[in-house]
Amino acid sequence: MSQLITLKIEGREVTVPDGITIIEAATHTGIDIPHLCYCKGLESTGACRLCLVELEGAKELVVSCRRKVKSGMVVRTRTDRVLEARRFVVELILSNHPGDCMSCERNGTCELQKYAYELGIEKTRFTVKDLGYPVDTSNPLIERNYNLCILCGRCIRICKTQGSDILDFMQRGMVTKVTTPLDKPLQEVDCDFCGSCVAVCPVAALLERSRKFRGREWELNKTKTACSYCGCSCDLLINTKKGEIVKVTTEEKTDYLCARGRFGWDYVQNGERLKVPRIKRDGKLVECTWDEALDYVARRLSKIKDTHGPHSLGGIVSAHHTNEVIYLFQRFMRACLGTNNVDSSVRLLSYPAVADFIEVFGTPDVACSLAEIEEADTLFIVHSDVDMSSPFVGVEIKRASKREAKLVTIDPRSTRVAEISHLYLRLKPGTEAILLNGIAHCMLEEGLYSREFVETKCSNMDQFKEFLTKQARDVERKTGVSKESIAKAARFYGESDKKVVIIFSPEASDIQSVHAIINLLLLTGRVKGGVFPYMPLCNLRGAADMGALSEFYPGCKVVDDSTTRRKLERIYGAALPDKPGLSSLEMIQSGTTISGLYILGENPVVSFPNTTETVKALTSLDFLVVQDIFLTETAKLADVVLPGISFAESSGTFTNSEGKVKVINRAIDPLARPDWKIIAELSSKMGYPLDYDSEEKIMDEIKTLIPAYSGGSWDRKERYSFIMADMGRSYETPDSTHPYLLMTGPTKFDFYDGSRTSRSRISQLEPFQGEYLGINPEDAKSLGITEGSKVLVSSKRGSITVAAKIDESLPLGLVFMPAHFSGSNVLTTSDIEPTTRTRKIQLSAVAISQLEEVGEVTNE
Amino acid sequence: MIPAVEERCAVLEALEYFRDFAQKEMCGRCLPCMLGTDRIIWILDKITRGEGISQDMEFLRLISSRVNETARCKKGREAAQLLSDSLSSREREYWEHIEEKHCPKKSCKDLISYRVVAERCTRCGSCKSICPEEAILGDEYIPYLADNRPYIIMEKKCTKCGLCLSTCEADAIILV
Repeated sequence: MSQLITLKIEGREVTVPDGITIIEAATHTGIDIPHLCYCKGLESTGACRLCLVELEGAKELVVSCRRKVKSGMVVRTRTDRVLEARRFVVELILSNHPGDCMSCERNGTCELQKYAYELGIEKTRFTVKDLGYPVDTSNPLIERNYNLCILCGRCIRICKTQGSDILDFMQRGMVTKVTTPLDKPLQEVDCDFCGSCVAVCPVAALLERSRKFRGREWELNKTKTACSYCGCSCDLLINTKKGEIVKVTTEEKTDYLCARGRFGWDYVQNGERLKVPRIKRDGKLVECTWDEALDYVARRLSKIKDTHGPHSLGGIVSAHHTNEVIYLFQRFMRACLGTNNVDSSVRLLSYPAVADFIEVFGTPDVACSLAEIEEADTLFIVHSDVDMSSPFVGVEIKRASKREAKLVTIDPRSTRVAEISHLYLRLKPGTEAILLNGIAHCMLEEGLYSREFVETKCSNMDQFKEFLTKQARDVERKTGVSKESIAKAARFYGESDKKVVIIFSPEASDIQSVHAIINLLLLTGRVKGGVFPYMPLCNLRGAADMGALSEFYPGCKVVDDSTTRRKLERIYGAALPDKPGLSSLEMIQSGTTISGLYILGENPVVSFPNTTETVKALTSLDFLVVQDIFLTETAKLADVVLPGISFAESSGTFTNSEGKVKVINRAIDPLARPDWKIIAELSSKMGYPLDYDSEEKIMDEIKTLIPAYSGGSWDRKERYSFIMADMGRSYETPDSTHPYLLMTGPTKFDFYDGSRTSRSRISQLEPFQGEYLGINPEDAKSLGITEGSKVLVSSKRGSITVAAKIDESLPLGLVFMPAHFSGSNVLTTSDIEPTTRTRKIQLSAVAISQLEEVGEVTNE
Repeated sequence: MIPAVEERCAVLEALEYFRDFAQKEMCGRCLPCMLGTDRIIWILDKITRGEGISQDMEFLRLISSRVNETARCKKGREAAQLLSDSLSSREREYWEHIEEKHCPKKSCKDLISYRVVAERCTRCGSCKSICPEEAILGDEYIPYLADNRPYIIMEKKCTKCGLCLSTCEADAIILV
């Protein structure tokens, strides 16, 4: 806490912390000093000269956004001299700003308008000039009208700190313009479309296109809620007018949102939204009433339960639902249907991390907070596609790096994070675990670990040493990373008294690299706040906590545990099965024992590996009910489709990557029935009434079961043991027929199964409609492929045709395909790893060949 | 090519100073200086073209004094101060430009015109042959021919480059 000092502003004595600026001190005391270029949260430049104040004893006016407070200072903010100066500046700005306030979207919140009013300027005395810039409407998200720009430079500064740093001033004097490299449109200069520039623009030069003529500021209702895309689950304000979403903003102007968060909400109002249930009759899905649909589902599920037993039923819930819905779903599956065959997106996206955390630490709550990333001294980034998967984590990394934090990146792809790293270990694809073990081995050899912690808290150090010695053989050859670099990384990580955080993707990590990461945490005793798994879906943490995993009850208690089971049986009033159920992958595979499947929000046809097998398994089911907001690829195969609701219509909570419980509030009226009501009604129809009258009541029940949700904390283990397992390769070995390794993953503007983003404008920004194969330029050259040429990609499972996209960040031999269209998973394999029962193979071997240009003759 | 005079035209001098300032010293980091300079150039340019109005004087005084107060750095303030000084010490010259559309120093191209003084003209034809714009009409003097026309300069075509003035050996071309 810095020292407090006292100064006088407008005759009022104010006591503020030392080191802040005059404008901050004034805001502190409720005095508003006009400002245009200054923006809380951004570096001040003192450009607009609107915040000039008079300082007693100073001859000249001073800029209050840059001048620091001093004890005994006497500040006058509204003298005639100051007002006259401000009036001049505003008039000058107005002379270059068309006064079309009547139909301007910023009317009422425009900062220029506000100060013109406050300073009593009816009209500028100067002749108004027309700058005549063309308005850029070439992208679907942001409209840029530089005729309105007042050159405050806020957008430039925020683009530097949290965007992709593409904006700057061009030329000088009157022709000064904020622009992109070579004045190209945003979509051509690698813009992230985070919209931060739109949020800070004081006028309407930058604007969300979605809000054009759809409501002015005072007509908008703002609902505070949280984002339902990635695991950061950032706070959002949904702005609605008459029940329609107009735009999404944040509480503070400079709060970060990514393109998905700020612009990717429009799927909610997409015309394809399902509103009434459908039943398959004669091979066609036809609309029916809710009663018809629910009665039918109840009848069919009961019949299967009676004839084949409860374990022939299964349920999969997607982790973009609220905790309340997920909890109720698992209660319905376990207590009403009587099976532990309940699973969620956690299995494919984050299970290895969840399972390891619970095994080693006794709790899933191991992640540090996002703020801690920014404060860290050193960051270890394993899989650096954060900019795509969890963009806010990418921003925190960038902020940390600005603060001189050291970055160590481990990734075969030279991503943006890798480029700003101090140490970039570009390893061979799929060898992360070996490299991390190599680092651990090096730390042991150099004594760079916490002896005290290991001796007092860890039980199996000796075996671990042996294990590492074995693992660390040939590290250099296997990973392609030099010994020196490994030693350097070991020294970075082994530095004691430093806050080091390992950031990794639970989606891209195989189980062995998760083991290796945890072992590193144990070696240095960084068991609290030493790791950040960035979850690729908003409520993956919550879904695991809620028990949407076939081997865990709510609160991450194993189903074999009889004490928990008895407690749950008492609360649920039903007998619960005691054996772990099937994982989601096991439920949907050939030879599955499942006959009836209830899928809530998940879209396995796109998001599960080996699409052909998945479709075959789904179509061979006796009965499939899908509850979703769209007629997804999976829903098309269903016997009954129940329309659910989106996050904007829901109330409840998400638990984000940090473990923070985020509150979701209903912003618009539900277009269909809330998911929890559907489950409760279905359960009642099956003779197991679930009586809740609101989402809060469900939360109350969750709180009684999981202390951490009612202000308590998780039980933690006090003693730990290193995990040692050698499970072989997590990638298919490339051979002469399939020489390339295929990596699938997230992209900037698409998300997970694509069911939401593909129905949003943001997906238009993806190259080749999001369906492409990224390939190294040299590989492309040797195959005779150029940007955009059609290629046939095939694996042992199947083949698809996509456009090629030359990508310099990829190493030789590794190709990349977005995971969000029904295609990439045709190639992947669904081999199951027996302990975690999730996918074993992260990288599949594929062959690539160029297609002959046939049939593409234009008619013109 | 502007004829050499003892003192240069105040308006043109100020305009050239600010154009130079905008090109060189001005950093563009603060709005009053950047927008003010631009506005000053715009107004001064108007005045030199004979399109100035009486309000412009007021504007110039306002802008220079305010920029002097609000600009971020010394350079911006100094430039504004120079204009203030020029406005007060050579006010008459500015007014002459605005009200009489006349440049007393005969420097503002738009406010001057070139004329051939017929009495002094020897009708040698060198001005016509040098004029790049073919703005000079007339015929060379040929004895005994009655219909050769005296030289005149067509104002609309003349770009006021001054070539004819410098080439005339008889001092028959003048500025008015």
